[in-house]
Formats: sequence, structure tokens, C-alpha cells
Amino acid sequence: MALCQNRLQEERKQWRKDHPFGFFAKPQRNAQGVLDLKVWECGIPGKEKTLWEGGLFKMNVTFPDEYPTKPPKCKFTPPLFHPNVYPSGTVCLSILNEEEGWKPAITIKQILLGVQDLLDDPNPESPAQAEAYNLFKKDRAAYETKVKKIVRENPAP
Amino acid sequence: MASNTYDQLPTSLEEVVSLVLQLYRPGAQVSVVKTQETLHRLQRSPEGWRLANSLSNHENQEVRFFAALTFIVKLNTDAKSLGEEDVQALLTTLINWLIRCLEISEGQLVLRKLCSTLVVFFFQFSSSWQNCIKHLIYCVSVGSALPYESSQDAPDVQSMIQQLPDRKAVAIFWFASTLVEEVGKTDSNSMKQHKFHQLMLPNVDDIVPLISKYITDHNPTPDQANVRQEAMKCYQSWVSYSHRAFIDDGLILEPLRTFTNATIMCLADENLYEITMELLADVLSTYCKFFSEDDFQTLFALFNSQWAQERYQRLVQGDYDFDSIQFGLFTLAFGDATLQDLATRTEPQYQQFLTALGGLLGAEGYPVHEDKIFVPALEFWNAFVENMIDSIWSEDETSLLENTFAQMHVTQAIQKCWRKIQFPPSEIFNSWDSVDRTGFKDVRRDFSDLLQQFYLITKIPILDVFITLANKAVENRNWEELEASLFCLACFPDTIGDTEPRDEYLDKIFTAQIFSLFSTAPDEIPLRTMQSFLLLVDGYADYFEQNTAYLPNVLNIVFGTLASPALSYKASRTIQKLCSDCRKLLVPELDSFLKQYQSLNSNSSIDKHAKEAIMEGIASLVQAIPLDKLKLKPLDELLNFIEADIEECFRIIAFQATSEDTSGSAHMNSVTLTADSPALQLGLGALKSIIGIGRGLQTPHDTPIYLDEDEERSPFWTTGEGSRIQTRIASMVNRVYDVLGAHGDIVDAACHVWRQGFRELEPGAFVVAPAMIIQFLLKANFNTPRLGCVIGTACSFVTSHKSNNESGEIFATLVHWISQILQQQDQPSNDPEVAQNGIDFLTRLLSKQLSSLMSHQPPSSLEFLFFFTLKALAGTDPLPKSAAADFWSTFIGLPTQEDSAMQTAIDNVLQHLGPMLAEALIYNMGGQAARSELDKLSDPLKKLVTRQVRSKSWLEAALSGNSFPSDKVTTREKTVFLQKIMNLRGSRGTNHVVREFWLACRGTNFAYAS
Repeated sequence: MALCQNRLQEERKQWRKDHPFGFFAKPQRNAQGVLDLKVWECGIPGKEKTLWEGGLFKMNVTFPDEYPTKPPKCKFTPPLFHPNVYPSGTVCLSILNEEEGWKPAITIKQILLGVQDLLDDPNPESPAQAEAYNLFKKDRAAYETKVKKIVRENPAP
Repeated sequence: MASNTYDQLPTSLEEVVSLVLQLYRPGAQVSVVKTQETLHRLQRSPEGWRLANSLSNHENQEVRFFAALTFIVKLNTDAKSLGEEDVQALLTTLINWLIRCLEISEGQLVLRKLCSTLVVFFFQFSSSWQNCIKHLIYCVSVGSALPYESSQDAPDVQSMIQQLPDRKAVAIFWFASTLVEEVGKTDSNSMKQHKFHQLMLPNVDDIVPLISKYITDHNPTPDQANVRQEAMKCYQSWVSYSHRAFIDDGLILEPLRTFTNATIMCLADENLYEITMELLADVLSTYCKFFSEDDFQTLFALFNSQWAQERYQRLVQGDYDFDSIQFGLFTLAFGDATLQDLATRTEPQYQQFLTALGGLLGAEGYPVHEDKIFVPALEFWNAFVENMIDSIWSEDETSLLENTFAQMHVTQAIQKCWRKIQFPPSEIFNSWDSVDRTGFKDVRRDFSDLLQQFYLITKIPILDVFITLANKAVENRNWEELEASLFCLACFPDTIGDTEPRDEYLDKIFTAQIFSLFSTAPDEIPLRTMQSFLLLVDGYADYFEQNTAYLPNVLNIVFGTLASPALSYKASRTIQKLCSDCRKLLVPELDSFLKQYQSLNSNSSIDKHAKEAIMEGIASLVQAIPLDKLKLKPLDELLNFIEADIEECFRIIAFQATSEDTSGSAHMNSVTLTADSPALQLGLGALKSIIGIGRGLQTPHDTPIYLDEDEERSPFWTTGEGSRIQTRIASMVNRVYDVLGAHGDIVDAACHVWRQGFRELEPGAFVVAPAMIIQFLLKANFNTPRLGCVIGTACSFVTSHKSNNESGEIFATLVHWISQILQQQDQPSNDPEVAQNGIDFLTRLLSKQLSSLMSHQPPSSLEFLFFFTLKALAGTDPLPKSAAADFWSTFIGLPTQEDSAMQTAIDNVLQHLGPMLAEALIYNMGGQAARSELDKLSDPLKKLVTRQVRSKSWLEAALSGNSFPSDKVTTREKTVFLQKIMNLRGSRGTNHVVREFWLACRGTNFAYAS
């Protein structure tokens, strides 16, 4: 538990010092104003020169008590139209899977950059929602139109 | 010849030299790879040691560099081949070479590489060279490579270094820096293994006197600038390492702390300024415990000195050169390190320093594009406020009082930021590159973070700051200031607590004056100011629910902004939200909104997404009309708007059809339309608008639900007066679909129109008779685009349908339709989307009305459906597979049927298909499935084990059958797996056992690299 808190404090500090453009990430506060380091509100901008450019997508990152031994859970709020995002909004990405690519050394910055990469480069091997997955596989033009719409609905400020 | 050179290793030293020279010669790109490869093979060969030694004397610098490199390669790959004597000899060779280098004034390139070589030696043979720095100093001082043991007899370091020439000292610094940097790079595990931290301890004592000699020297000669820089760099490496040693092992390298004060003084030396500043800033921001209380006092005094004041002034006046920014970052790092004191102590030195830190927010120029210190300064203030909040929550109430000063400083900082976040004129803003533009917006976001945080301390009174600023800006018609103030006010909606007197404050901003300004001068107001106004209205939408006086004004202003493309999206959402939230209050405004929409629609082209949102908003007012009868007229009006779009769409298509057609038999749906053709967009927009209406008409979530199912439902919408609307909607959808149904988006949108009614519990305009849905669904066939979506709509229909005596017939029709589609498709893999939705449909039917599936005729068709699901289960497409797993899990789990004929039918299916089901499951678990599918696939397996007595024999057969995909598990392992599965009797542990077995079948190599 202490390890988790210390690490998150450090992550917060590092993020403050250096974070990629257009992203944001901050721990939530509860109603009384107490900082809850284990739930972060983050924003992921679409990469330049991709379909997702101009969009900003909000994601909650929830850290378990066992963090950094276990990975955090990333969930888009509201759920995002994307082949690797579950209907609940949870992101399906190998580095976020304890049994796959998660390593305790992975930082929040790396996670968010990883999710940003995933936006334009979905992994067709692990579909998480049928709608986006099927459109991506079968009708790329329609998929792209839909993504553009999503970007319009979630504009970067 | 050339090929010989590459394939065989060179035999003479000359050949090697020529290859090395070739490697470093510019050009000759093609051969570089091959040359490199040959040389690499040479380095790794047993001859490598000798080669390195011979080349180390070569006249050419590049060759000597290569020699040092070769030593490194050998040390890293072949160190184990050396005996104890060889090791000592090697060390002597390397040190002798170093001494030679110093004598002949060898260039940096080789000398540095040689220092690295010695460090690599240390890593390989640390136990034979523990006090490496002292030994090296000793050898270099006497000018000969003495055996390591002899350093015991050496004089103490302090006296040796007095006579050490500067040039030799530089070499020692290079070695010592590289050494400590490399040790710092080792990971903690190997660190523990080799006790490197412990090994560094005696070496600190040896390097510190040498560093100290140069840093504490008050009267250096001008030619010592270089050696002093190297001393400082070396010191930086050691200090930075000491942080690591402290974190890993709790070691404090005390000797390094003995001359921190002298280090601070080095700032005054212009040769050392840059490196010293970097060192101090690093330590302050990462490891401020390194400094003593005395050091902090020295630093405070430093910041008060004239030297610092001048630099500070230069910075805030807009000098953003490297060293000026470095000074700013150093100031901020000191602020970070003293954060706690700054927040609580009231002595002048703290107050003054806080004022200076606040001043950094007011430097010249636009943030990011010009002002490079603003972002880090804002970060400091964010951290400062965060720290204040944390201390409020962790300490007793008295700390609040002490915070008064800190609060005052934050308030001043906020005022400065408010000025800085004001947008420049748009022509300036647009001239920036995208990084600067994004950066500027990031700054605004970071500032809003700070405001939201500070709110937790001040609570609602902070709103007054921006209300005052906004009202002043309104008076002066200063649009930039107004924009910034509205933006700031719009940061708070989510932070304001329920019990706070929010509306009293908002009354002061939502005034007649501001509304009249925005409604009378819309052309004068810049886009961004309007945008922030929309943001504000949107954020506090529920305010207008309680304070209705200005609600129509607000909506009228928002309607007015719809015509601007940049604002229409946000505006349409705001309209939708306000209408939805305040629907009851706005019912009287319905006519006026319809008129507004009409005039907008005829004067400008609103895009289809905005239309959808506005339609939804207006429809939510219709929903709030208590009497169904009175809803008809406004609904008709809304549909008229859409109808007009549809007519326009058809007109364009008809025109195109006639102009394309020469035969005289023009047909509307033979016209080819591109994705962005206006006709298609109009048609799509029309359907989207209908969807918007459907969504608006849905009963809000917060109304009570009557659970009494038996209550007679009003037939108003289905057979009464309202049926006219339903028929009209259906006809509009069908007309568009019939002409444009070849386009996936149209099919998709049409489906969503019907789905609007499915989620309603009460009768309504979109809650249509099943016959209408069926009529639409049956239009779709194997060739319909987005067929998956159509079948998906059928799925939702099954779930939402309330059973009655017509259900049997309805479902039978649908099963027939689905089975035809799937039979045409034949294999699930031909269209995984259709397969997935088709199977999902069958699954839903199982629990809704089993009989309509089981009595499907002819029997061969029913059999096809079951086989289809099995094929999907054994296939490679993830979604159909998952759907099939659900289907079988539901099917096996069906409750015992009262109807014995039905039960017999179910049993027959299972007895007949059970072996194949087992085979498909085992095929997946034997390594064919993806890891993420295993949990889903375990479900039917668990059901099978618990509910089917013959399951064990089926699974056994599948495990030993020919189709089992893996040869990596033994018969014994298979038996154990089966035994475990059976013993677990469907409990959760099954998933784990399945996973283990799957891993074993894939082979251990498959485990992900850790």
C-alpha cells in the first residue's frame, strides 16, 4: 500500500515536470477535496496527422492496491468507439494486462502514450467491442467517418 | 578480391588497419555494414586481445580508438577466459597506455574511450580492483602502472593530488565520472548481487579530495577553467549517483556534502555557472535532503543578492536565452525544495521569495510561444496549492490561519495568470505553429486545474474575483478579458458543492446586462468569447432550471450562434441540454423555437449533427406536453422539416438519374452516389434527425416507472390518432431506405430509428407495432450492407418485445429470415459480423421463446443453425466464437422444461451434438484460442461438466482425437487436465486450469518475456 502511494506520488511529480503535449493527467479529489492518488483523470489527444487528430478523449486510470506489481485499469469515459475498447470503456492493451506486457517500470506517461498509439493503430487480434471492430474490418471508409464524428464530439479545447 | 576481404578474416595487421580506416572514412555506405561485421568478428575472435594491444600504439587516432573499443568488446564477451595473472597484466597494459596517452597529449576521443575501457574492466573484475580511483591516481602520479597491491604503500590521496598536474586530474575525473555513471545504470538486482554500492564507498573518499581541490580553490589561474569544469561535472555525476545509493541502500555519501557551500559560490564564476546551476537545480528538485540547513540559508542569501536580482529582472523582462531560463528553473527548483516553509512561514525572506516566484507568472510575452518560464512557474504554483490542500486535510485547524499569507500569494498569482491566459488576436494566434497553439491551450487547462484546486480552500467566494473582472470587461467591452473571465468561471461547475449558495453568486454574472450584450452585439463579439459564454451557460445549465427569468434569452442567444460553423456544434449541444433539463418550463416556448429553427434552416445550412441535436432538444419539449393529443402538431412540424430534406434529397437524385440515363427509364436507386454527395448527406441527415426526435421523446430517466404490467395500455399511438405519426415516420424511413439502402450509413441510421422505441416502457410515437419492425427487417437480405447492424436490431427487438399471443408467429418469421441469411453465408468466417449477430439472435431467442427456435422447420434448417454455431466456436474469428460460446452456455444451462416434448428435443440435440461441442471446446483450449478468449470458452465447459453426465467421455474423446491441435502435452497431462476439470465441477477454478493447460499446449516458450 505504501509502495503504491509512494510510486504514485513520484509519478505525479514526474508528470508535473515533464508531460507530452496535449495530454493531461491528475489524481481525482473526492467531495471533501482529499486527493485520491489511486484514481486519475486523464486526457489523451489524437495524434497529429491521423484520423484522431483534434480530438481529446477522457480516460480514468484506476490503480489497484498492488500497483505497481499489478497494472492500473484504464477506462474511457464515456466509452470510446474503438476496436480495442470494451463497451464499458475499458481499454484492452497488452501493456495493461498483468499476464501480458505489464511491467512495474511502465510509467503513466508511457501508458498514456501507448493508448494514444493504440487509437490510430488498433490491434485486430483482440477485439473488445463488436461495433468498431466489425466496421474496422469490413468497411474502413465507414469506420473512418465514424471516427471523425467521434473526434468532432470530443474536440481538444 | 573484395569478397575475400569480407568472408575471411584479415590475416595481417595492415589489412586490419585498412579496414578500420575504411570504416571511419566518410562515404562508401554499402560496404560499411560488411566492414563492420568483419571487424566485429575479428574483435570477438581469440586474437582480439593481441590485436587490441598491437593497435593501441598505432599512429592513427581512429585505429587507437578502435583498439580501446576492442578491449571493451573482449572484456564484455571474453573476460572469463582470463586467469588471475592475465587480469593483472591486462590492468597494467591499460594503465600504461593511459599514462602514455597523458604523456603524448592524446586527443579526447581516445582518452575518453580508454577511461571507459578501464570502467568496463572494473565491472568485470571489481574484486581485484576495489580502490580503483586511488590506484589510478597513484599510478598516474608516479607515471608507471604499478601492481594493485602496491597502492597500500602509496602516500595518502590528499598528498598525492597536491602535485598532480591538471591534465592528469582531468583523466581521473573522466574515469571517475564514467565509473559512477555506469554503476548508477546497473539495475537494482545486479546491484545487490555485486554490491556495487558498497564498492563505491571507499572510492568516494578518494575522489572527493581531488574534486574539492578544484572547487574550493579561491584563486584559480585562468588556464584552470577546463579542469575546474571537469571537476564540477565529475562532482555532478557523483552527487546524482549518491541519490541512487540513498534510495537503493540508504547510503549517505557524506564526503560529497563537505563542500556544497563552495559549490554554490561557483555560480559567480562564469566558466562554471552553467554546469553548477544545472547541478544545484537537479539536486534541489530530486534530492534536496543532500543540502544542509546552512546551504539553504546560503541560497536564500544568494537570491537576495544583486547578482540574482539582476538575472531575475532580465528574465521577467523577456530574456529567454538558455542561461536566463536556467536561472528561472533554478529559482523554481529552490521554491519546490522549500515549498513547505514557503506555505507556512511568515518571515520576510519567505514572503519575498514567494513574491518573486509569483512574479515569474508575469514575465513578458505570450506563454509558450514567447514566455518560456510561464509553464514551469505555473507547475510550481499548482504544486504549491496542492500542498496547501494536503496540509489542511492532514493538520489541525490552526494551519488554516497560517495559510492567510499563502492564500494572498496564490490570489495574486491567479490574477497574473488570468492576464496571461487571454488569447492573442486571432491573426497572431493563427500564425503560431501547432505546438505553440496546443501548448497555449494546455496552459489554460493547467490554470483551470489550479483554480479548481484553490477552490477547495477558498470555496465559493473565489467566483467573485472573476465575476468582478467579467463585469468590468462587459462595461469596457474588452472581449479578451471577458473571454478569460468567463473561461475561469466555467471551471467551477463540478467543484461547487450542493450546499453552497451558488445561485447567489451566479445571479451576479447572469444579469440583464450581459444577456443584452450577447444578444444585441453578436457580430461584434469574437468567436472565442462567444465560445466561452457557451461553455459557461452549458456548465451551469441547471441554474436556469431554478432561475427561469433568463432562460428564453439564453436559448435565443444560443440559437443565434448556430449559424457560425465554429460554434454550431457546441451550441446545438447546449440547446439540447437546456431543452432537456428544463423541458417542462420551456413548453410555452415551443412555437418560438420551431420558428427559430425554421428561419435558421432556410437562411443557412446547419450541419446534420447539429440538426440531430436541435431536433432532440425540441422533441424533449414535446415530450413534456402532458396530453398526447397536443404532441401531434409540433411533431408534424418537426417531421415537415425533415420531409423537406428528404424531398430535396430525392430531387437531386432524380435529377442525377435523368441526366445520367439516356434510355429514358431512369431509376432512382440505380444512381451511384459518393460518400460525400449532398443527396446522401441529406438522406442521412434526415434519418439522424428522426433519431434525434426519437431520443428527445424518450421518457427522462428520473420519472417513476409503473411496474403494473397488466395495466391497459393506451392505443393512442398504435391505432388511435397518433398512429398517423408512426405511419409517417415509418414511411419516411422506408422511403429513404428504399432509395439509399445500398449505403451502409443509411442502413445503420434506419436501424437506429427503430431502436429508439425499443427502450421505451410506455407507449409513444416510436413504440411501433411489431409488424412495422418486421416489415423493415425483412427488407434486408444477404447483400444488404451493415447486415450485422440489421440483425443486431432484430436482437434488440427480441429482447425488448413484450410477449403476447402473436409472439410465436413474429419470432418464427424472424428465425426463418435469419436462417436464410446464415445459410446463404454458409460459413461463419464469410462474414463474421453477420455470424456474430446471427448467433446472438439465436441466443436471445433461447431465453425469450425457446419454442420458436426448436420448432423451426424444416429440421435440416434447424440442424444447420446448430452446426453453424459449432463452426463459429471452432473458427478463428473472435466475435462469432464468443457469441457461440454464449449460445452453448445458455443452451446447456436452459432450465428443465415443463413441456416434456420440448425437454426431449433439447436432450436430443445435446446427445447428438455434445461430442462435437466438446471437440470444439478442447480444440480451442488445446492452444487454438487466443488467451483473451479462454474465460469466455470456459463458460460452456463448466456448464457441460455440471449438467451432462456424458461430458467426461465426450471430453476424453476430444482430447485423444485427431483434431487435438498440440503435440506439446502428454497423454498423462491430458488425463490430469480432464480429472481436474471434472473434480472442479464447474467452479471458478476451472478457468485457471484451462489457462494452464492452454499454456502447456502452446509450449513454455510462449510465455511472455518478463
